[in-house]
Amino acid sequence: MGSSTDLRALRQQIIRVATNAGEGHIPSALSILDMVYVLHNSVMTDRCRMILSKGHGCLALYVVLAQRGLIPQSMLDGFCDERESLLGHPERAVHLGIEATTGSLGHGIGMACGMALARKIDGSGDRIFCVIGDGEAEEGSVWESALLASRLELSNLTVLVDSNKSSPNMIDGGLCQTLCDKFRAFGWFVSRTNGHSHESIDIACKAQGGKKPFVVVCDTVKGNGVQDMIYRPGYWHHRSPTAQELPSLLESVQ
Amino acid sequence: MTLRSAFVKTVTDLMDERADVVLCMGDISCFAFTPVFKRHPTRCYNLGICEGASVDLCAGLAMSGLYPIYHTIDSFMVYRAFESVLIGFGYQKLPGMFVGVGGSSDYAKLGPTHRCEHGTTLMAQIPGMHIRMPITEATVDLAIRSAIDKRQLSYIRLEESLAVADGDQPPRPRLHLKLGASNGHAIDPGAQR
Repeated sequence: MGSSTDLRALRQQIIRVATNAGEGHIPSALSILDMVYVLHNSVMTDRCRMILSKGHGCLALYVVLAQRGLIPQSMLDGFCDERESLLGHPERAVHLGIEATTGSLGHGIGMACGMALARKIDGSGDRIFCVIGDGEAEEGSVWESALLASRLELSNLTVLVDSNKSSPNMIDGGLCQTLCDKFRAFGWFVSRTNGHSHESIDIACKAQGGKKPFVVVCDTVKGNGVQDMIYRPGYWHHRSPTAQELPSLLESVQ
Repeated sequence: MTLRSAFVKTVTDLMDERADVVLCMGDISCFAFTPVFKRHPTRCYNLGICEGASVDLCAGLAMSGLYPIYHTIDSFMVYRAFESVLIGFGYQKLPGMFVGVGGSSDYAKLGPTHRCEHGTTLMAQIPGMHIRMPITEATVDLAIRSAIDKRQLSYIRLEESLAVADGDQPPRPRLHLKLGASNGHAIDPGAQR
């Protein structure tokens, strides 16, 4: 699995790209980076597909796709340049490994249901993965999709929930049941794991749930790997560092 | 024959003819498609009362190379699921067909929630959307087949109160102000773009 040096370099790259663009959601990208990294480097085969429904975390996807050689590193330099391909939320570009246009939360999981259903129709049963946020799970469309996935027995669909617990409605066990309880109630096979442990994510994602769709609720930290972003996630949520802030921030990356 | 039964006939035939068509319904017309459910159980679904996610799911089918047909009452398809149509199909430049029934007036007596005065206006804002309003059996078949053959993104609106027999003159365009629209617009039955 990824070495700590590799991951530190990817975190630094996320910060550099956002700084260069003056745009981006860095803490959200750091929250899902380990999940996206493990999916692309260990779990997924060539025939698998992944939708990043939590679109504002796209810098994690972009740096992993670049690390995998699916998009040129130079393309990262054009992040958020409207004349280029990589915007602040994903825009579908299958040839680059970006499967879906997302950003308005709650749509990617439904699209993933359709992709999983298509693989059942053609008989391949290839696996479809989808990364959503716990805040995103406040959207009603997520639960409409959860219902459809269960009823259609989309056992080839695996949803990873980035549960960084930063949303105001505390959907994962704050004011109401945990996300595990909710997905279980909707007929899903459920697992919970540390969203920053590569081994745990890998093991969890390789489990099978019989005929049921599969959800892995990943406990994460918003801004993971950068102390100031962990302590001040609201401040950093949609903010890129200044040129003056950049050196010390890069130095602090774990 | 109604426009809806003409739609059922055409799509039933198409499901036999083409392996890339997937029919998804929002809990209407299901009984009429009983033979299709039996002959093509993996390509015919009643997705129930969840229009937004249903359209997202249809987008996922289109992302995988299939041609989805989503069918329900116009107001729920256009108003409730508009963003799903816009993102899933418009922004992603994907093919698929939305077949709505009711239009502005067929369910007018059921209240404002079942009238879709702004349906064509809104769907016309979706990038790449082709809108057809057939008013005869023959043009229902023509509209559906034409859209699928060209793999277009299409909105086909079936409004029974506008229907005429094949060969008859279509009614004059009329205003829908009466139905409660704040700024009703004229529509041209049978118009295509």
